[in-house]
Amino acid sequence: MLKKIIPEQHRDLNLKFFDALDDVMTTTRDMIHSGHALISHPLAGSVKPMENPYRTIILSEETGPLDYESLRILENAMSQVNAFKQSYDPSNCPEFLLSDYQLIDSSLIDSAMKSLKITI
Amino acid sequence: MKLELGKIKINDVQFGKETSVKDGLLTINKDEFIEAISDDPNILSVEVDIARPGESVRLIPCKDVIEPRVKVDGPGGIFPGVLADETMVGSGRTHVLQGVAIVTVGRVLGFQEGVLDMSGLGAKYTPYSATINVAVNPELTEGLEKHHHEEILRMMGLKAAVYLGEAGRNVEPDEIITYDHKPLLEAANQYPDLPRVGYVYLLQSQGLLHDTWVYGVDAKNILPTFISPTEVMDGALISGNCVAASDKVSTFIHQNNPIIEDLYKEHGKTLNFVGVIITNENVVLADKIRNSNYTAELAQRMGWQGAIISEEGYGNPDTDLMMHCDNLEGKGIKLVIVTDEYPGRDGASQSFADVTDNADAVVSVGNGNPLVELPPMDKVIGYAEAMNTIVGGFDGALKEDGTMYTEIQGIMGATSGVGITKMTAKAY
Repeated sequence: MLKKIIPEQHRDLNLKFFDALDDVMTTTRDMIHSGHALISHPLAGSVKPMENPYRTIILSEETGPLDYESLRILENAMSQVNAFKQSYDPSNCPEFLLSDYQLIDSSLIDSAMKSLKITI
Repeated sequence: MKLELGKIKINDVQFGKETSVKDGLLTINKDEFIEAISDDPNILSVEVDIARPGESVRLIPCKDVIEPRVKVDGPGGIFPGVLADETMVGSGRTHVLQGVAIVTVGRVLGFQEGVLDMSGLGAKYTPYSATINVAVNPELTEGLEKHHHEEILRMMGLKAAVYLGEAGRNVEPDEIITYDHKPLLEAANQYPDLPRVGYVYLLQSQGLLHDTWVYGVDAKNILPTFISPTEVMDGALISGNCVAASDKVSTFIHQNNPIIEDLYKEHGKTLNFVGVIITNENVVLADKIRNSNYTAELAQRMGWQGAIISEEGYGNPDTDLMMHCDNLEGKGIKLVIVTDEYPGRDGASQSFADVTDNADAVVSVGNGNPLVELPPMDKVIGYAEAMNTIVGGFDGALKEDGTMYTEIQGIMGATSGVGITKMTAKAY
């Protein structure tokens, strides 16, 4: 998600921003290895990885023992991201589509936040 | 719950003076039709067009496909909680205009889906090339929010289906099929020697433009619940899914779910079809865990011995699918998965975003990644330039002569997660 579209009330959450999808995925993997757990699924529900250059993932703030289920899901997601590199090159994404992709990513996270009872 | 589906076979659709069905011909009064579907103040105008099987016509970008139906006897109306009141549906008699579909066309997002060709290679991939399609394409006021645009288009399609369905109210059907769904104990005792098999029906519910509606309720807010297969036939489930053309379960597919059809065909022969559980595909892992636990518990309490499960979409719903698989198999309920695959264009990657050892019986309904060349069509309904930004396509996918390239995932219904497509692969 872009920094500028984060609702004001969430700007004090511990947010990390990256320039590339690969960085989002590898940082998520590193955080899982550090004991954070996945709260939201790392992939979207239909729009394919790499097709959408944006991806927001929610992880637990607290750390604990390595959560193998989170790691398994994330590793599978990373392998799908790599598979879809044959289909899409985000650097070719036309400028006028970017705001729509941002909307799709943010709407999925809105849905997640509502489910987590975090009002936005 | 007993539902009679009266199928009125439609051989052609024409515009004319009076909206009516006679001898297999559906005539549409275009002005009256447009008036019936244009009550939203944001609709400036509507283009209505007819596309017939075999014609050199391309519809793009398509959103939903809906079959015209009308409730002629029994409680409730088609699309309960949305266009009819909340009365439960699924019993009595419903008439179907078979061979006709409404297709909503419109640009909701910059990236687009999907393409629907009425002839050529593309027609072979989509189930909707076999129906006479009445395309509705509204022009809306500028600056509408995307979700509002989607809602207007969705409602327009449903209203169009109800308006046309009404023409079949007093027509004697060519065929009447009766679907019975008995209360659980009665159903279980009906064929005591056959395995009790149910259907787990995953509904896309990720958020904006990825939604399904159950009696008008957003599916992301439901707990897994029983539903009669006959309720589904009367429009209790509505697609609000605006992305991913090939594996989208359109409202048409909900109305004609082939897994439900086949389970009815086998009922009393090889199995005892005892029920359907609908559940959702949410973004948060906790929802997935809760709902897959809940589904398995319901299935066990109903005494299911086997189940078929279908998913809608790709990506995080694969985790819903696998969690359901683990939970159902964990309770001793033998599960068969129906799904499409995305192993990359070269077919060498893992097909799913999640897997489990318990997924040991899988029916694949196709690979969404291969690139196909679709020949030019004489006529395009919608927006030809959308082909450059179609899902599964790429910039430059549209050639000057109208040839377009797309991954199969850009073709409407081509890898429908419930397996409504006709193509198959055979090994020799």
